[in-house]
Amino acid sequence: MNILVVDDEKDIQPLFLQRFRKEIRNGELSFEFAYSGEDALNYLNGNLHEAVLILSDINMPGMSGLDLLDRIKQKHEVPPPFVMMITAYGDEENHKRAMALGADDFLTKPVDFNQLKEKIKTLI
Amino acid sequence: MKYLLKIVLLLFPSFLMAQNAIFDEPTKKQADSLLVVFHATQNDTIRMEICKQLGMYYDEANQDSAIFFRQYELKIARQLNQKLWEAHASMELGYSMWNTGNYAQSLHYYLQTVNLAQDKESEKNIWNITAFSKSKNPRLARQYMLSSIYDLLGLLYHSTGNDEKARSFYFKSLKIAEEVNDPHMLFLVNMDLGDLYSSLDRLDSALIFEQHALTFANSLGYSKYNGIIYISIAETYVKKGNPDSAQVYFNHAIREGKRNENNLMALANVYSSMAQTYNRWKMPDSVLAYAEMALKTVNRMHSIRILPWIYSSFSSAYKMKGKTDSAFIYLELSVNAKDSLANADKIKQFQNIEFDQEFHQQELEKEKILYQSKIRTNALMGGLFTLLVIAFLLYRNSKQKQKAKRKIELAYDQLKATQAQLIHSEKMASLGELTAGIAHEIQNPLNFVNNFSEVNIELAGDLLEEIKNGNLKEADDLVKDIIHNEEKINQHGRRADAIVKSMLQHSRSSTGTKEPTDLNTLADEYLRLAYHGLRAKDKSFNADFKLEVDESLPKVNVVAQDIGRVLLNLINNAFFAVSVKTKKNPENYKPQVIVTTSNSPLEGGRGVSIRVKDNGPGIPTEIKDKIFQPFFTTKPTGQGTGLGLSMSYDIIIKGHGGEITVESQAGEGTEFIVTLPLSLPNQQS
Repeated sequence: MNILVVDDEKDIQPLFLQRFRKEIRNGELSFEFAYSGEDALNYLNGNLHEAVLILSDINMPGMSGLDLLDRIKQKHEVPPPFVMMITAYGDEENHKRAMALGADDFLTKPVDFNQLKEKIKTLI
Repeated sequence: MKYLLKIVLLLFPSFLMAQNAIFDEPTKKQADSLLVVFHATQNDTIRMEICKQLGMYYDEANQDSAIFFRQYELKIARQLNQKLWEAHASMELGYSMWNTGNYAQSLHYYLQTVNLAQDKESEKNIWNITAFSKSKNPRLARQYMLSSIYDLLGLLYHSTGNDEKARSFYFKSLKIAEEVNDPHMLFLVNMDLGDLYSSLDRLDSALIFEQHALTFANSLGYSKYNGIIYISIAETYVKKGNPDSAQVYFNHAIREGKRNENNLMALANVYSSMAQTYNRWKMPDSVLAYAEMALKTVNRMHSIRILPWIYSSFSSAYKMKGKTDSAFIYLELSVNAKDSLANADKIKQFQNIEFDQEFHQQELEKEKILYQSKIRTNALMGGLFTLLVIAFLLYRNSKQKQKAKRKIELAYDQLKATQAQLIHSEKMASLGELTAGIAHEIQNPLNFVNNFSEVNIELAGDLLEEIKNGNLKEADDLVKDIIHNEEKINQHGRRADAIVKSMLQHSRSSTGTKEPTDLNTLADEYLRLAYHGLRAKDKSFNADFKLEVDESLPKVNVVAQDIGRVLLNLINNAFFAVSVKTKKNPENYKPQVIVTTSNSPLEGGRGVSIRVKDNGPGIPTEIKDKIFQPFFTTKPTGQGTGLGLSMSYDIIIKGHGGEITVESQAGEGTEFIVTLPLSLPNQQS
């Protein structure tokens, strides 16, 4: 399963690669990283159906995670990919907006990777 | 009899008209007819008029009858509320009382008349006004009454020996009579004044008054009192030692007295006067003869007023004749008559009434004073009230002002409290703004710290496993990963630390005190500090910088540390901007930061400005209004907290009452302008 991780924090890449290194080694999961909403859209445009799961940060310079979510759910292929929002803003407002825009799940930072792994397992 | 009555009644008005109603008295025949009508008629006003006529008919002949009709007149006048008629009846009653020697009663009635005649109300609604004024003028009618009563009061006081008072009343009467030009009154007053002056031995004056009286009487064709005037003139001539002239006037007087059947008083007076005159001339037989005639006349008319003098004449005559017994008897009679006329009781009574009158007048005076003082008191009270009202209004006004002042003060206090609260809540709000930012800025590094450390625990476990298995190559890779992760942990830990520190710096209240500060020096210090700070961090960084100072810049009262922080922020931003552009466009570009100080007053005041100008990429228009918001930053994650400009904004605007503005053009550069007032407003901390 290919997962697209979108976050302006570049250290998110080594973190995900190390946390999921067993799953990657087993070939269960593969990761793609985008550091902005724009990057994410570019990737999605060029790699149709590649990403089954999108994990996106909300607070990013330029296109925010919510904008990205909106674009994916409104303008992309059917069925739309599974989108999980991950944000440091764990407040009710962001949660509501994300759900209203069609987010499939919502996680807060710091990310509990054990919980994330459980969620991903149910999707596979 | 009834038939006769009707005729009389029919004739009555014309009969009244034919008369000089004011002073002509009826003949005996007329008096008889009037008496018949008086008994027959039911008409009160006619009876009142008849009473006046009959009173006049009897007043010098029969005092009892005169008094009866006067009292009847008075009763009707009062019933009909005819004030002037009441005054007249009262006056005539007083005259009758005087004639009978009852001076006290006389004065009593006279004073009633005075009160009525002085009252203007008496002018209203006078029935048959021709009885008092030929011209039917109510005012003249009343004036006639006043003149009459003053004359009679003079006569009364003359009789009681108070000549001065008598003279005063006569002249009062004369004055009114002259004013209203009443010949009848002028005659009477002149006659009475003549008598008075004669008794005062001012004989020439007396003669003049008497001649005047005679002239008025003749012009009026009024002869009732001519006898009296002749006596006065005769007596005056006697006193002047002119017996021939005196005799002539005595003869006139006797002739008048005899001719005028109805003026017995005048005749009695003539006889009495002649008796006294002959007594003076030592002719006892003549004295006795005239005294006898006087006595007879007086007895016919029931008047005792001149009795003492008649008896006295008898006594003197008998004394001259040597008949001492008779002389003594008449002397005694004289004394008794005098006593009954003016005994102690009567005089006392008179004085009492006089006193009452004076008392009454004093009361009136008192009332007047009381009234005036009442008016004055009222005016005073009114004034006081007005003052009170004004005072009250002023008091209320000032109270309202005080209230308003208190309200304003209260409102001001509330405003101040609200302002303080606002400042506080603004701090809280910005803290709230911060919280969201803090959450993000702290949670992100924390995310790495937590997760990398967890990964490292796992990796450390794996490492132990590989070492046990002797897989050194694997172990070596794992150690490298662990080290790498530790670096990330350390890096993100520092990041969190920096965020918390800058946050504290932002929220911390400035404790620095304002001191006159040389901004030129301050700008120089921080420009260098910023440049070297950046060079220390990034060896590749280089930029041109310039300081252009205005040497005339005065010292400004500021918190140097705070302004320094602002300058550091602005200069750092400027260097960052030029470094961004340098990286993008290395050729033909000379990065430059210029700091300028200048005297440039704020609007409506004095002030200085510091400009920080860079030739970086400029600020895009869409984010221009966001740059002062906390945590807004264009720097890559980790390089800026986004608090620099918002903190600077707080320091300049809130801390120093200045302004901070930005001018920027895309591709050209950015200029921040900080303006500080020279005279700073009182500062809230």
